[in-house]
Amino acid sequence: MREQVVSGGGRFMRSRPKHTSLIQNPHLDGAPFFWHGGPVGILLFHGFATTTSEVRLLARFLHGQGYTVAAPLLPGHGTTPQEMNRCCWQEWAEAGTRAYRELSAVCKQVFVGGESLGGLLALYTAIVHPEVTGVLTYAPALLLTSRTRSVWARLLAPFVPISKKPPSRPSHADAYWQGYTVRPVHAAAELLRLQHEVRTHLPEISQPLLVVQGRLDRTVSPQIPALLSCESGAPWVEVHWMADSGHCVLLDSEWEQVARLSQAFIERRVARCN
Amino acid sequence: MQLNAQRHVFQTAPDPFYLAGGPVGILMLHGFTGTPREMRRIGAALHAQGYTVTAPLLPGHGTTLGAMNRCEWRDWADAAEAAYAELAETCSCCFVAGLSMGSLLTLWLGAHHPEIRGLLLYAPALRLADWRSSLVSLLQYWVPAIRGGSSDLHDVSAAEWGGGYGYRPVRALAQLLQLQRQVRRLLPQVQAPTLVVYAVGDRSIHPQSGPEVVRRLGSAAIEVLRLKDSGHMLTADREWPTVAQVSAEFVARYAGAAG
Repeated sequence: MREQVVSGGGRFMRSRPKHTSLIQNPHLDGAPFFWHGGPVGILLFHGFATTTSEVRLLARFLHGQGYTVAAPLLPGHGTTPQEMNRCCWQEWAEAGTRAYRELSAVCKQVFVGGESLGGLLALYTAIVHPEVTGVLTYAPALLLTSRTRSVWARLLAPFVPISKKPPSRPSHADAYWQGYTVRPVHAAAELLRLQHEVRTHLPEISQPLLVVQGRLDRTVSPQIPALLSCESGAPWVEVHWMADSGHCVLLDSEWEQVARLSQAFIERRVARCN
Repeated sequence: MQLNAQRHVFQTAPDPFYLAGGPVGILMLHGFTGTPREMRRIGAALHAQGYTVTAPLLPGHGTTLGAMNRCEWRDWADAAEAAYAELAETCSCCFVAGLSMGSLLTLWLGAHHPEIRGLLLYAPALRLADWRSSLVSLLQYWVPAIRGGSSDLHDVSAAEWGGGYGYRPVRALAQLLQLQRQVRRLLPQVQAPTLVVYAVGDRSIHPQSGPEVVRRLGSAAIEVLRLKDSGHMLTADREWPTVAQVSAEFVARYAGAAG
């Protein structure tokens, strides 16, 4: 893993570094997928600056249980941080909606889920499509731990398009996490815009919610589960705290437990609807 | 202050109940100035699922305002402890449920007895809606009781499950606030899976009361059910069948092999 700081705007850079050098774990499979299965479909969105590898373990588990599982690769992801900086949140939302339409065309019931930014997109999709059966959010990026970082992202975006990632605690997830080793600041500002958009529309959510978050998460705020249970319109919110996990609950040491409780949540919802 | 004799004394029969069932036991604690009747509908539904259900009458309740005003929060906590100890003797796996003040006692038990399998909090009264309640610690030396607020029941016919005093005993209210403070401190120590049920239209507890419980609980699994068509006494109000069903499912899930 190589940390690299690239200065200068994406499109004005003279020598663009090979994008593999900015990607952690380039050998992992980060391509979008659509795995056919039963009549219940699950759409999974990956997080900020990562690829579908982030949701792949959970997806494989759920597909093994007989569900149809799909995950799109969001615009700007899996390419270069500069490419990602050129994306706006509407493009991510659009990609999410497109993937949702594809899946709902073949499935009777659809659950949407996602990690971090993906969790935001899942909430967004559930707001736009009230027919979604349930929402699975894994450390949804509804509120970041550091307010100052959020403010800096907005202020710095025009001047420092790419910044270094702060060092993080080594975790089980490191080996499975594929994504940029630097932080695209423009894109982070877009994430904040999406955050605002989702937050203002939270009361419109009418689906049951699953919220899974790691106790060791230093990226998103520990207030999120309470915020979702009080601000969202969801009649049913199920919160699970993972004692030994950080931000990437879908890849960290307890991911299997997360997968099992996600499956239990889905099963219960499906049973209730039938 | 002269109290109307009729409203001074308890109106409905306070009937603690014990419904014998299987090895999974559920202790149900009623709310401030309430009676076990409040828990009867849910209790009967849980009993129908094969669980042992017990609902004691807390000290000072179901008698007179004077008796209630002589109680301290410790008395209520001790009564809850005693009822739990009794249930734990016969049942291998225990759950505790409580309405309003009862849910504070539930949290109290949860913090002190990690072996409890799950907690069910109905309208947790961690904070009260009425800002004047902050004055009671001062008021208690002059005023024995204040008039109770109007009912926020959505299903008016559910009032028969409530009952209680027409007045609020002020000294007892000050004790409730003490209990709130104690329980707020204990929240991070609670480890048991918890179900929180609260009504959006609840006029007795502060709207942030439920979310605050969710925010500060130490439990790894928290489930939240929000009711849109119920008042404070949600164990008997219009959506009580939903509450009963969700509670039964919650108990079934966490009772595990013992169930």
